[in-house]
Amino acid sequence: MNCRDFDQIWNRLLDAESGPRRDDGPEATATRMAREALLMEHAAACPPCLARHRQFETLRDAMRAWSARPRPAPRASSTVVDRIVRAAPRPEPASPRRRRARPLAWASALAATAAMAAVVLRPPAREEPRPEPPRLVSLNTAMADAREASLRLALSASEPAARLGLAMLIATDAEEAPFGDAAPAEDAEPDAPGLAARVGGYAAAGARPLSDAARQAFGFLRSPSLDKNATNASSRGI
Amino acid sequence: MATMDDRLLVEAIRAGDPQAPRELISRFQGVVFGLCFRMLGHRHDAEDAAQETFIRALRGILGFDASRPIRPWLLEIAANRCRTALALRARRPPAADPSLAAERADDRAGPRDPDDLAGELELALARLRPEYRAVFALFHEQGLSHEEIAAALGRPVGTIKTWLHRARGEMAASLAARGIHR
Repeated sequence: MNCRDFDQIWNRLLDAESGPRRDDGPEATATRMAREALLMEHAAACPPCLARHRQFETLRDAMRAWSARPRPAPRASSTVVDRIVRAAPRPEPASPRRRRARPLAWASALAATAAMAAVVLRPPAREEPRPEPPRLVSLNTAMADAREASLRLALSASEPAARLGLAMLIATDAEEAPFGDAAPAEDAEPDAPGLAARVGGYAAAGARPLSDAARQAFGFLRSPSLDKNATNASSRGI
Repeated sequence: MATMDDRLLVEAIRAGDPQAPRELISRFQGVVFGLCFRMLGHRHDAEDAAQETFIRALRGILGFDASRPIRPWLLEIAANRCRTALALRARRPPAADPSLAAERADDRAGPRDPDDLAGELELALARLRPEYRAVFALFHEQGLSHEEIAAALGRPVGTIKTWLHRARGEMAASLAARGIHR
């Protein structure tokens, strides 16, 4: 027997030292005594294992005394049970959710922000059982997830608006162009199509329709895939 | 109801039997509380965590795979509740909750009855890391198998065996350091 075997045999002996597993039958006792004789034989010739042997013997005695104690139990109270049952509603089959229209661009932006906040600010501990072990989420990963979620939301809610917004962002990176040169003439009472045309004109002219703060906040929307889509869209005149 | 097996009990809860949730609580509150108590080291917090565990379990019972044993599932929820409670506690200022200090095990080195081996083991247990403490308690106090503990704590069986081995080693060393001998 080497020191590793010594440790493993002690491990097996201690495995059996708990209330529910304790077996004091003649067969189990004989096996235990045979193992202990082997342990003693090794410990007698190995001073480090002898010290360990004494520690484990003390631990075993303590575990036996500890196992004989009453186990910790909650205070028995019917009101506690009532409270639990009241707090947990009776189970009902899940009903499919109705789809809700999401016509407004601001609503999708709000949802995107909420998704980002949910990912970035999610609590460190797991709330519900999951099959996978918890993993550390770096800020970069969280930002990438948020960006992907935001893009999906924005595209599904208002793809044309997203493309227009991206075109405007791209325009901010273009070479500086004199705002006044390219700005269309103002109308006294602009109608909706006219306004849209003017916005497109501003973007085409490389104007900066967004503030620095807004660009910093929503610049993450610029992904290579959307850039590519936007390029294709602009070539199609969208 | 007393002889109903766990699978039938789950079906009864799903079917809306008003007595079934009470039976679930009665059947498993000991082991759930035991885990919470060992992980949190505080009776009041453990009772809160055990209550939250059953509330969440009853709310989520429709999503539970009834072909699995329910005990590890309940313990998994309980372990998650305890981790959340520990994380919240870690953010709290140490002196903010005097009840914690009042109910915490007395870990001061000092004169204790050397023959109170069970008390000494309790003290050594309280000094372990929460994961080691939970594994030791689930194995030696609640009688769960390595596999059940692994399922409850969401860790591989090998990790559970290692933690149990280390927990016992640390406790043996702790007893020796306090001058406890046979």
